[in-house]
Amino acid sequence: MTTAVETYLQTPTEPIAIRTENLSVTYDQLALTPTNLQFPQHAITALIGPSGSGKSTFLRCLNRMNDGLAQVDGKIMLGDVDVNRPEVNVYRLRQQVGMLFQQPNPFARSIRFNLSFGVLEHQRISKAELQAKMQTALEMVDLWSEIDGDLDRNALQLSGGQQQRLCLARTLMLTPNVLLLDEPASALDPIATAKIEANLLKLKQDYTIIIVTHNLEQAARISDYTAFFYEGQLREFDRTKKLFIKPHLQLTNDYLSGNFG
Amino acid sequence: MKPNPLFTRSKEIRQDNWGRWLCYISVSILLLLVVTIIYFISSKGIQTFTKNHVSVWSFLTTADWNTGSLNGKADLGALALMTTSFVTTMLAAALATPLAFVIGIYVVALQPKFGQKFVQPIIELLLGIPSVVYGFIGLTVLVPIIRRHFGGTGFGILAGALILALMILPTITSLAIESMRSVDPSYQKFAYTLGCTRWQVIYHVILRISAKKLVVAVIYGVARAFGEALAVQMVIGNTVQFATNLVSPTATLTSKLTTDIGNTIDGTLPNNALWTLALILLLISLAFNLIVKGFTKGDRSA
Amino acid sequence: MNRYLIDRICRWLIYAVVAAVVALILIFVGFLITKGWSTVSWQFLTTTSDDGIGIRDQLFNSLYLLILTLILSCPIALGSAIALTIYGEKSRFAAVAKMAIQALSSLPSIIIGLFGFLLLVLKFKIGFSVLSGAIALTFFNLPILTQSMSLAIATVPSSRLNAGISLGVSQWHTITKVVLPEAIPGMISGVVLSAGRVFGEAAALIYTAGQSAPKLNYANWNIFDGNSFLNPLRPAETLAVHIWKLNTESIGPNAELISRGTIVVLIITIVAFNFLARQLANHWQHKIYR
Repeated sequence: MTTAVETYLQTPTEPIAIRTENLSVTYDQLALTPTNLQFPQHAITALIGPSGSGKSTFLRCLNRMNDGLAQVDGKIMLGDVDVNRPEVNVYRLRQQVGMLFQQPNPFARSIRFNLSFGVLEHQRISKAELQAKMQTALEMVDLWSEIDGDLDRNALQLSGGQQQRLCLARTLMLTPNVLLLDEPASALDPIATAKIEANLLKLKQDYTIIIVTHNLEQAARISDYTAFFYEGQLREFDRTKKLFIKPHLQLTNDYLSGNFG
Repeated sequence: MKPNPLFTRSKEIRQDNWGRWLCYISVSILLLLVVTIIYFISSKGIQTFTKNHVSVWSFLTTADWNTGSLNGKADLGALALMTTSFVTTMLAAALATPLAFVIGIYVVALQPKFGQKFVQPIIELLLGIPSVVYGFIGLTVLVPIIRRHFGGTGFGILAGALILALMILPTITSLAIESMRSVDPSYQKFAYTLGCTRWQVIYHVILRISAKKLVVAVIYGVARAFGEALAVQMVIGNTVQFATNLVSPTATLTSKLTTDIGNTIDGTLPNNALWTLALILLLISLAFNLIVKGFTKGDRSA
Repeated sequence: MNRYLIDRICRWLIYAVVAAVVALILIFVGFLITKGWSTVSWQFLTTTSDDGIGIRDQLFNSLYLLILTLILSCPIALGSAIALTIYGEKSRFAAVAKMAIQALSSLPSIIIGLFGFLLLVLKFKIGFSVLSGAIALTFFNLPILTQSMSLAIATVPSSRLNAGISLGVSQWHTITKVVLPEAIPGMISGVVLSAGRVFGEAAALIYTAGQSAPKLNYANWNIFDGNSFLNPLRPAETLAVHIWKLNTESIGPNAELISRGTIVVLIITIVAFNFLARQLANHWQHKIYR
C-alpha cells in the first residue's frame, strides 16, 4: 500500500455535472488510486500532471473506454446515476459523454459521412433536419465557412487543425452533456491550437468540458478548475486561478515551475 | 416520465455479439479444416502399418515398390521415392538460390529504380504461371533437349530439377529482396563513410545482416519445390527406382501419388500405401513449417 | 587484387547474370505466347473437343469453379481476417489460428486435392464434381485470402475504431461501415490476385472436379439436369487440368496444339487478373485519398 500522501482538494461551489467516488483503475497493478473528483457544470476542468500520472487513464474511465482493458472500481455519478454499473448501456453513455482524441481521427470519407455516421446509427432523422444539424455543428467549430459548406469533401483533405475541429463537430452531433478531450491540441500548431481553444471557450456555455493537457499555459488560459495528478494519484484540485498562482502543495508548485515534468 | 436511456437495452450489444460470433465461426472453420486434413490423412496413412502390418522400418528404408499384382507378394519401400524427392528439390534450390540472391542484390543495392520497375515484375511474372504450364514446357522442350545432349530418355531428375528451379526462382527472389530491403540503411551509410566499396557493403553489411532471413527464403523455396506435383510428374519419368544418373526415369513422392491414386481401389494395400506416402509428404511439409518458425522466432528475440 | 577491382568485377558479374535471367524469362514467356497464338481463335474458344480442338467447356468450367470458389472463400476469409486483426489481436486463440493458417498455406496443393478426394468424393459421396472442386479450391484459397485480407485490414489505423466506439456506435458497425470500406482497395486486389492462382490450379482438382468434361447444354438452366451447364454435381475439367490430361494420358494427335492454345488463354487471363488487381487498387486509392 502507498503511504498517506498530502493532498488538497477544494469543493466547487457550482452545480456538479459529473463526479467520481473512489474511482480506481487496475491494469496489472494499480494505475489510479481511489479518486474523488467533482466536475462543475458548464465549466472547463483541466487535468494536468507528468506523463504516467494517471490523468488520461482517469479520463478514459468517464465514458467507459477502459471497458475490457482494465479493472475500474468505484462510482461515476452522471447526474444521479452511477454509470460505472455493468447494467448501464455504455453506448448511450458514450452519446452523452463525447470524446476527442490526441490525434485527429476522422473517417477517411466525406465530411458528410463523418458527421452523420453516429447520428444515423442512433436515430431516424429527416434529411433536412440532418443537414441543419450538420451546419450547426460545423458553425460551432467555425468550420462551415472554411469549407464553404461543401460537405462532400474528403475529411482527410482538411488540415490537421480542421480535422480535429471536424472531430469535435462529429461529437457535438450527438448533443452530449459532457466533452472529454485527451490532449486534443498536442499534435497541432499554435494557430490551430488557438482556434480549438476559442471553440472550447464558446462551447463551455452549453457543455461540461474536461481536458487532459500537457500544456500548462493552455490549462491556465482556458480552464476554470484544474486537477493535478502525480504517480497515479489526484494531489490537488482547485480553481485554476488559485492553483496556478498559489498552489497549496510544494509538489504542485515544483511541477508548475518546471522543476520536473 | 421518459425512461432513462442509460438503462435501455441496447441493440449494439446484439450487433457486437453477432459480429463476434460470425468472425469466430469463420476462424473455427479454418481451424477445423486444418485439424481434419491432418486427421484424415493420418488415419488413412497409418493403415498400411495397422491393418496391412507392413513394418514402418522397412517402409522407410527399402526402395522397391511392387504392389503385389504380379506375384502376389508386395514389397513397399518409400526410400527411393523420398530420396528422389530430396535430391530433385535440393538440386533445384542449388540452381535457383544463387540466381535469386544475385537478382536480389541487383534490385536492392545496385539499381533499385530500374530493378523495382522492370526486373522485379518480370521475375514475378513467373509466379502467376500455373504449374502445368511448367510441366508442359518441360515435357515438350526440355526433355527432348536433354535427350539429345545427355542421352537417356530425357526424363529424370535433371529435367525435374531444372523445371522446379525455374518455378521457385520467383519465390526465393521476392523473399530475398524483401529481407535485403529490411536491412537498416544507416548501417550501409556508415559503411560507406568508412570508405567501403559497393561490393564490400553488399557482402559485409547487407548479406551478413539479412543472412538469417535469406535462409528462410530458401527454405520457402525448397518447401514449394518439395510439394510440387504436376510439373514434376510430367517430366520425371514415373518409374520407382533409385536413379543411377540424372537422366534416368525415376519418381518422387508427389509424382507417385498423382499418377497412382486414381488407379488403385480404396481400402486395398496398394491404395493404403499411397496414403502413407501422402502422410509422409504432409509431415515433411509441416516440418518445413516448423523449421521456418524456429528461424523467425530467433530472429525476433535478436 | 585490389578491392576496387573486386568491386567492379562483382558488379559486372551481377549485371550479366541479371540480364541473362531476365532474357531467359522473356524468351520463355514470349515462346509460350507466340507458339500458341495462332491456335487461339473464336472457334477455339467456342467449340468443344467433340467438334475438334475447342476448349469451350473447359473455359466455362474454369470460370464457374472460380466464381463458386470466391463465393465460398471470401466470407470465411473476411470473417477470419476480422477475428485475427481486430478481435483477437493479442489473444492466444488468435496466435494458434495464425499458426494453423500458416501451416495450411504451406501444404502442397496435391495434399489439398487428395484430402478433398477423401472427404468429398469418397466420404460424402459427392463424386467428381463442380461442387467437390469448388470446395477443394476453397480449402486451397482460404489461407492465402485470409492473409491478404488481414494485411488489408491492418493498414486501416486503429484510431478509426476508437472514434466509432466513442460515438456510441457498436464495434461491429464501426468495423462494417468504417474500417472495411477503407480496407476495400487492399482486399479487392487480394481477391483478384488469389483468383489468378485459383484459375491456374490443377493439382487440387484432378481428383475432385475430375478429369472429364461432359458436353454441356448452355440453354438448359435447370441446375438438376445432368447436361445443364450450371449443374454442380457433374464432373468439370478445367483449362489447367485439360493441359495436364492431354500430356500425360493417351497423347492424341492434337495434344500439343491444343495445349499451346490453352496455355495462351490461361496466361493471358492470369496476367489480366494481376493487371486488374493493380488497377483496382490504384483506382480506389485515388477515390479515397483523391
